[in-house]
Amino acid sequence: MKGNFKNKNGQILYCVKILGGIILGCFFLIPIYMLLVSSIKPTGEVFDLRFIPKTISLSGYSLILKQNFLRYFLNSLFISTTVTIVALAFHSMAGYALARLNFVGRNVVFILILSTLMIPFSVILVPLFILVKKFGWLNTFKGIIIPAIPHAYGIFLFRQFFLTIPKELEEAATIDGCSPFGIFIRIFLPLSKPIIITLAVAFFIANWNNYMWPMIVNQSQDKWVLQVALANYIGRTGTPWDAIMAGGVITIIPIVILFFILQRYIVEGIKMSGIK
Amino acid sequence: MSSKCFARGKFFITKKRVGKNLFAYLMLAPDIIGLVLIFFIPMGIALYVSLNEWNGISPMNFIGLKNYATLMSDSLWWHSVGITIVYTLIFVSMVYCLSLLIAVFLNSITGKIQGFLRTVYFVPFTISTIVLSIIWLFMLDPRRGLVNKFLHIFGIPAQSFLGNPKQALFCIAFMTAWTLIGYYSIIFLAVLKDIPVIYYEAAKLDGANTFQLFKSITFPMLKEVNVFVLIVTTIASFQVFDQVKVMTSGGPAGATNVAVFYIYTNAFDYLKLGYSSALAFMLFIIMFGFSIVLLKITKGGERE
Repeated sequence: MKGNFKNKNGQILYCVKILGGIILGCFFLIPIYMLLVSSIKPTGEVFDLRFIPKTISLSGYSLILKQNFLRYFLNSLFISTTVTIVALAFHSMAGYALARLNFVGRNVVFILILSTLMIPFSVILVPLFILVKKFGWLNTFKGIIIPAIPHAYGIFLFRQFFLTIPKELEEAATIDGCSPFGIFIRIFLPLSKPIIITLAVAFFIANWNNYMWPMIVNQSQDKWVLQVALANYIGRTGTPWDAIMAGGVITIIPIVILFFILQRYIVEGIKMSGIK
Repeated sequence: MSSKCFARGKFFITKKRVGKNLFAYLMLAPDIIGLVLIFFIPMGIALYVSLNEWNGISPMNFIGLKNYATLMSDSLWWHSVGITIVYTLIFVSMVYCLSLLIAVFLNSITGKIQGFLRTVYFVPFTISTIVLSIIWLFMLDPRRGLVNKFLHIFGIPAQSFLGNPKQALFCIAFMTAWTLIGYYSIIFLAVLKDIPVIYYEAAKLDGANTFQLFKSITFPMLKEVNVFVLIVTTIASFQVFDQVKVMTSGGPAGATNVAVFYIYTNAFDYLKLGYSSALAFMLFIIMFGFSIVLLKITKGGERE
């Protein structure tokens, strides 16, 4: 009898817990829901703060698309995709060399690579701007893409992953006459699908969301990325809120899609960054 | 391993050996060149520029350590360093406590609901700072925003939030914490899940209550991840910029003029490139000092 009572109490407690968890979830989701719902309200009704709009209007979207947002969307897409692909190629090569090849000065190179993680972006901001200006890369996509590629974090995670692949595979391939580069392409890369997807998502999101550097490098309007365009749009006075909200929704769509498809890999990536 | 090969290589420099080294360097070359170009050379330039007076157009004027002497007595700079430290304290304690609490909570429920709630809490993390700034500018609107409507239910008068010098910094710290809590609770949760259940069961048999369980088992087991989270969030909050630029531009009355924003205005608004480089180095030193102190306090996460 007593045990039964305790069990029932425990069940109630569990339900209360889950209810609390859901209420907490609302605290995280309501602000984002407000963005979505406000973007489809007419300008005058944005601040009625209704959760279900009285009238649905796409005027915000048509206004924002007239501001050339499609162009900025494509700019962001091009930059983020290019950085992600090139970075994955470079980092996997470097990670492979550090994990699997014996060469003179390996430890020194590895430590030097890791030491770049210590350098805050604010310190190299001005000199990087000077360099990019010298190379004539201001107001070009090159100026955003090239500085975004080198990153010690990606090299490090590839190295850690390649260290876990058994040596026997490599040896067998060598006996079969496979070259070191062939081993990398035919054996290591196909095995590293999980880390490639994890890092691809991380790089894409980071570059899609990047604001400071693109803002400084690309002043000319046709080279703007979404984040810069949106920030500029907020700064102007008299901008209707429904249009700003519509711009925000357009900006987060690709990331939300990626998030729901590849959620598992995103979570794995976070765990890797925290523990290893 | 590599030193052994090096010793062998010294005596038998075979063609194969050289070829293997060359292959490794070729594989590393793109990233190494990139890192040198993006990090090491700019570090050198930054150091040199910080010893000059320069507006980016006319030739540099070498003035030695004068920029560093100037910043020492620049009250605006130290004011912004102070703001950054206050921001760091608010932000780090908020993120740390709330994400640990949420992780402990998530760990106490099981199955699909755990995964579902974890995902829900994590959603804000994927959204860019700019869009988050839009959302919170909207939510915190002094006259018509949802937060003031909510406070009104409890009879709290409308606040001006970002327009109030006493509240603006806290609002930005709160918003940033809101976006990162889900991220750090995933990290904490991963570690919590690895703590063997036997520990808890044994302690419960000895009559330990929930608080004692947390204090004597959970918390000590979290030592490494604690250090990781504290250091990473501290370094990140010293570099806060995007949300300040979009939400307050350093205002009102300089209340959110954080260090990186001050560096940015000096470089790109006042065109004092030399001076802003000196400021950036100073910030780097302060950050470094903070990290060392944190490591000392937490003893580097080693278990006793």
